[in-house]
Amino acid sequence: MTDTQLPPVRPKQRMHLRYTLAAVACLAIVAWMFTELRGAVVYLRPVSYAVSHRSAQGTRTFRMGGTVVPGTIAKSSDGARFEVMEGGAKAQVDYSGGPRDLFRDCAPVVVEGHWAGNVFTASRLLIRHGSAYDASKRADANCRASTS
Amino acid sequence: MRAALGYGFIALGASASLLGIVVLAVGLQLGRADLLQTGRRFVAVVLASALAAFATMEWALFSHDYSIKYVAENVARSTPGLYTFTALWGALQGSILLWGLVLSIYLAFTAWRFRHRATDPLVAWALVVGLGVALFFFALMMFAANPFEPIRGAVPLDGSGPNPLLQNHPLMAFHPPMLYAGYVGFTIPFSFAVAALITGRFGEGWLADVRRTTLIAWGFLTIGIVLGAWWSYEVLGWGGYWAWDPVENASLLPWLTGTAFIHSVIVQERRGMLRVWNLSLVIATFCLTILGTFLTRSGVINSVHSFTKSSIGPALLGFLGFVAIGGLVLIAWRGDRLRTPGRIDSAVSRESAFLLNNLLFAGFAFVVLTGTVFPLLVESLQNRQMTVGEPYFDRMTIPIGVALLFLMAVAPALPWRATSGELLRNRLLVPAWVGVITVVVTLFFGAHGIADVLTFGLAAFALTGIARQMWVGVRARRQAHAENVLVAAGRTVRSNPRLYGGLVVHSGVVIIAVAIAVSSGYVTKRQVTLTRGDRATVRDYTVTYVGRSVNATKQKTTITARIRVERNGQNLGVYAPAISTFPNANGGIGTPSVRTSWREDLYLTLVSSPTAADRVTIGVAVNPLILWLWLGGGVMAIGTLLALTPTRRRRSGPTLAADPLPPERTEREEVPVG
Repeated sequence: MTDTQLPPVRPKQRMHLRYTLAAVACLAIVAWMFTELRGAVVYLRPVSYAVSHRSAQGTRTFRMGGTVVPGTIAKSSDGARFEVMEGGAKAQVDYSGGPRDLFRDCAPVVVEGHWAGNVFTASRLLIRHGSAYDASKRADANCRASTS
Repeated sequence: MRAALGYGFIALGASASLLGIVVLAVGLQLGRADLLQTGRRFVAVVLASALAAFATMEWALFSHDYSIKYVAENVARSTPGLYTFTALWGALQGSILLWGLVLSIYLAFTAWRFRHRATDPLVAWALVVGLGVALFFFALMMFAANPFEPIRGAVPLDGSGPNPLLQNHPLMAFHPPMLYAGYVGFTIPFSFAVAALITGRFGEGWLADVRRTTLIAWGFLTIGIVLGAWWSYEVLGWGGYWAWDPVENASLLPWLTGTAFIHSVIVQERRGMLRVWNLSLVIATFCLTILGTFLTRSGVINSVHSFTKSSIGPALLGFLGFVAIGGLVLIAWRGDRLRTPGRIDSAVSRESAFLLNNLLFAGFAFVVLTGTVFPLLVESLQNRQMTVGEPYFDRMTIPIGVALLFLMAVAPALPWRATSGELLRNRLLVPAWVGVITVVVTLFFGAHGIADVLTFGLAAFALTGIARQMWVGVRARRQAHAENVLVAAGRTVRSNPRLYGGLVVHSGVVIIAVAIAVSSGYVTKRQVTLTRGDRATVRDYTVTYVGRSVNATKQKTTITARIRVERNGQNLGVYAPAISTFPNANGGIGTPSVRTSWREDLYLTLVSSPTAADRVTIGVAVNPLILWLWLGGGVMAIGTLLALTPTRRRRSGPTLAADPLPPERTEREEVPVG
């Protein structure tokens, strides 16, 4: 290095400089990380929240969780249209993608997409596979009873 | 009856762990060798009771003993034998039982391996720590997650059967045990690290003691992760193999810190440096295995608020906190004595490359950990549910991955301490040129994106470097001993299995890196709707819908579409993607049908089952180089095995059984390269 040409730097000061530089680098990386993190966050909203905050959501992508309203599933050429409900609210979902034979009336689902007017346009559909069957059977029975 | 028997074995395991700890601790305190000898033997009791509890559970599963809640919830009379066997690790309580058994096996292996050093405080303390972990898991089964809990109310005539996803592919039999063998194995290096901190012997001794076990655990974890990706690809039917799902991340996190650890120890063995790094990495790895168990098994991912309903969540979280804080306190307590005299002399040297490697792997783990835990933190603090999407993980980890690839290409060629331009030219010029040419060629053939192009170039760079290093070793041996190439190659590897095994593992990593880049960036995917007899063309493939079948068994009902596949007019046979529905489950699951070849996979999924008019929608994807992911995993496993083979000197050594130390030392005499 060129230590001899520079004014003499005591080792301690050099250590301080190194630690400062390392700390700044770490901070920069963490800041970058959290920027990326914020950009990639997808919120999960219950149907009732999604419906009541429809205008505030704009066309931002989020996940909506609810139960498939029995008798509303209509397959289309590239997906399916159905309604989901939760907390007394209902929303129309237009889902494109596959597979779509994997859900049925009263299935607890999460759809990922955004509002397009009053219809929720979804590009992803997740079925919640309950690990406790007793609980999911009970929920299923409740769902059927509530709509029949 | 089986319930009481099984619970009894678990209680026995817990008692034996506790007694072992007490006897060993007293022996250590009083310096009594006889107590240390006795304490060691409790490990055998722990192993026997874990085995017996495991066997009792299998017995209960196979005899459909529905008086046990776990059996009733996880096995139906219609469940096939294989999935009845694997149901033991299909749900929370059983998987803790498997955890306990695997840990007992590791502990017994360790106690046996160090039987001639039973009175060594380092070994005794390590056993105390290991038995402490065992005690925690046995206690977990006794009080929070009892696999033998009797059912409340009337005993059902039939059970619910496993989760549909867990009874659809034989990989279920291998993936979880492999993963657990990896996860749990890291308890041993962790125990020795803590023992080293307690006894103040944090030189190279404990590293040499745990090197093999660490490699074994790492190898199992690697295989477990690759099998998990394979299972995801073959079973879940979404066409991919990795989705940055919290459950996947949970397996990757300890792998990242564990990989850093097995590299970083080399620096300490060689130069006595990076002690704090090594202790921290191994403690972090163990913490991350506990965190992974917490994430996957407490239900916290479905909802932060559901995990407190299971008593296992808080217990695991408390244990995690205890281990993490305890580890930090121990390191801080020994802080002064952990300083090492060695320093890094040059920025371009082997040790600084290893240090950078540590930083990159730690950064990688931090990025993944943050993305995994962030939603949980937000939910518990603000009561808002969210997920962190794949873009975050991709954008953060790809640069780190590329940097690691670069390090893998360059670092093995760097000498210790300092280097000269001459030497670097000699070792790296040809590999670097091969890398540059590869970049040009891949650009010509349509590679896009800077990360992809860099990956291909660096992969070629690294592979050429590995080939060169191996060739130099073999050539030196041939010149010295006048052997033929094959004999020389075999003996070269056996003269330094750790180095050459490591290089083989590296080539596996390179293969996987290329396969990941190609298979994620160059996919062709389409959905086609066909009436019977219709055909559609995707890339070179023509698919024809030829018919359907419905197969109903007690276990499941499967609807299958038969699709004839042709490529450029050549008939490749009939493939059958399917959708299965299970009697006790909410939704069905799709089963893709995959035609695998060296170059690419044709991946068929049934998107929508045949309608009355016999129309069917199928997903057709052409995924390039997928096979190489699994092959790369195989190469990594072979490399790990190679690295585990005893050195030649060890075989001829007179102290074969008496002292496990010497062979580790011989391996430091690395074959000079270049």
